[in-house]
Parts: sequence; structure tokens; C-alpha cells
Amino acid sequence: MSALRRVAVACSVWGLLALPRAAEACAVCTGGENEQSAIAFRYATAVLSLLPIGLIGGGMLWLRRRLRQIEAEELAEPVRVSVSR
Amino acid sequence: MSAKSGRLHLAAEGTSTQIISSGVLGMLLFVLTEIMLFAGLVSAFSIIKAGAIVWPPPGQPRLPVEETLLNTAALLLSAVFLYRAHVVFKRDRKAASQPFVIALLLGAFFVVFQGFEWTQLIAEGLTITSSTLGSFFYLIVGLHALHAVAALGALVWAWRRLQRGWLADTHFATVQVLWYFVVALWPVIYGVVYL
Repeated sequence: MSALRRVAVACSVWGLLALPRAAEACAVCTGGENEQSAIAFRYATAVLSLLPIGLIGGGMLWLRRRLRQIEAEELAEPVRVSVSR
Repeated sequence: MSAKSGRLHLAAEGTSTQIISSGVLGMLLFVLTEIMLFAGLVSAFSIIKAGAIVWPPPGQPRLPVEETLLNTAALLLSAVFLYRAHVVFKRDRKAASQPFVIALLLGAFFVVFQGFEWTQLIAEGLTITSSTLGSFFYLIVGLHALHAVAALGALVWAWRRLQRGWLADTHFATVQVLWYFVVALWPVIYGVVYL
């Protein structure tokens, strides 16, 4: 590796490590300044991560239960036809 | 399982069984996106509130916690009456009109009370530009109020169809999903923003 390339790599690594601190662009970087903020961030991250999974998972479970219910009804009453409009 | 004719249904050997109506499915998808929208707003508010040294910000009025609790009760009660209306609707369509109207009036009371509350808060100096509390308050509560007004419009539409004898069970269920979303969301907003 040439000297110029080493300097370029070192500058890039320094830039990657130092610039986010200077920019404070990421809300999480400044969020840990006090304990209450850090706790709020953790809760918000957990809620926003788990909520869509929970909603989609809940929907899938409901659909599965409904399908089983319909299958059970059809087995109990074999001749049943509903027409879609 | 396929989505033939715009309905999610189970198809086998020429028979077709409806799992969920297109109206309810569409409304559920809309509600899911709205839940995420409100989750983002409520999370952002919680973080700003937690990071503040003094809350509410200096010079800003305290939010009317007790009065809004009464309003919350009215909204929750409207959901109970709407549920009751649907139960009655399955047996006797005409008899469903009374609990439906009560649900509608309680919902309208909620929206009107919110408007009255807003005028008082603006008079006390809480505006959308006065502080972060004001910005978030009018954004979150305002967005909820917008949904409440839209859902009330849907309820009025359903009620008019009910009066004329045109209201289908699937239409009733679709409107119910929207109203239950508005009702279920409010206690979360009340707990985070007001308390």
C-alpha cells in the first residue's frame, strides 16, 4: 500500500468515526445525554420495532384461526356454497 | 385461498367461502398504516418530553386532564353503544337505530368538546408555534380529531343507510373497524400527551 493510499484510508476511517459526532445527525447519538432520554429511546425503539411484527403476526394468527373455523364448519355441513358478488 | 372478486376467500371444488369482506380488509390495512403513523408521532413526543428539563415548557398552560377524562369516557361509551348496535342489528335491523344514534351523538360530543378545549388552550397561549408541547399537542391530537371527524362521517353515512334499510352487515363492520380504531387510539394519546 502506497503512502498516499494509507493517508486516504486513515482520513476515511477518522472521518467515519468523527463526523457523526460533529454532525449529531442521528437522534440516538444525542439521545443518551440524560438517563430519561435514553430510557425513552429504548422504549420507542422497542415499540416501533415490535408493533408491526405484532400487528402482522396477530393478523396471521387470526387468519389461521378463521380458516380452521371455516374448515370445521364445512366438515360439519358439507353442502355449503356461498356466492361472491 | 385467493383474492378473486376482490374478496379474500377460500376456494375448493367450485365452492367459495368468504373469510373477510373487501371493505373490512381494506379498512384493516388502512388502520395498520395509521397505527404506525401514530406510533411514530407518539414515540417522538415521548422522547422530546423525556429530554426536557421542565415539562410543560415554561409559560405554557397545563393540559385539561380532568375534563378530557370525561371526554374519554364519552368516546369509550360510544364504542360500547356501537357494539351494542351491531349485536342488535343482527337480530332486528330497525331496533339497531337507537344504540347507533347514541354512539353517534357521543362521538359528536367528543369532537365538539375537543374543539371547545382547543379554543380555551389557544386563549391561554398554547399554540402550534408556542412550544414543542403545542406543536406535538396540535399535531397528534389534531390528527386524531381529523380521524374522528372522518369516522363520524362514515357513521352518519352508515346510519342513513340503516334508516333506509340499505345497510349491509359488511358495511356496518367496515365502519365499526374505523370507529374502534379512533376509540382505542385515544386512551393511548391521552396517557402519553395529557398525563
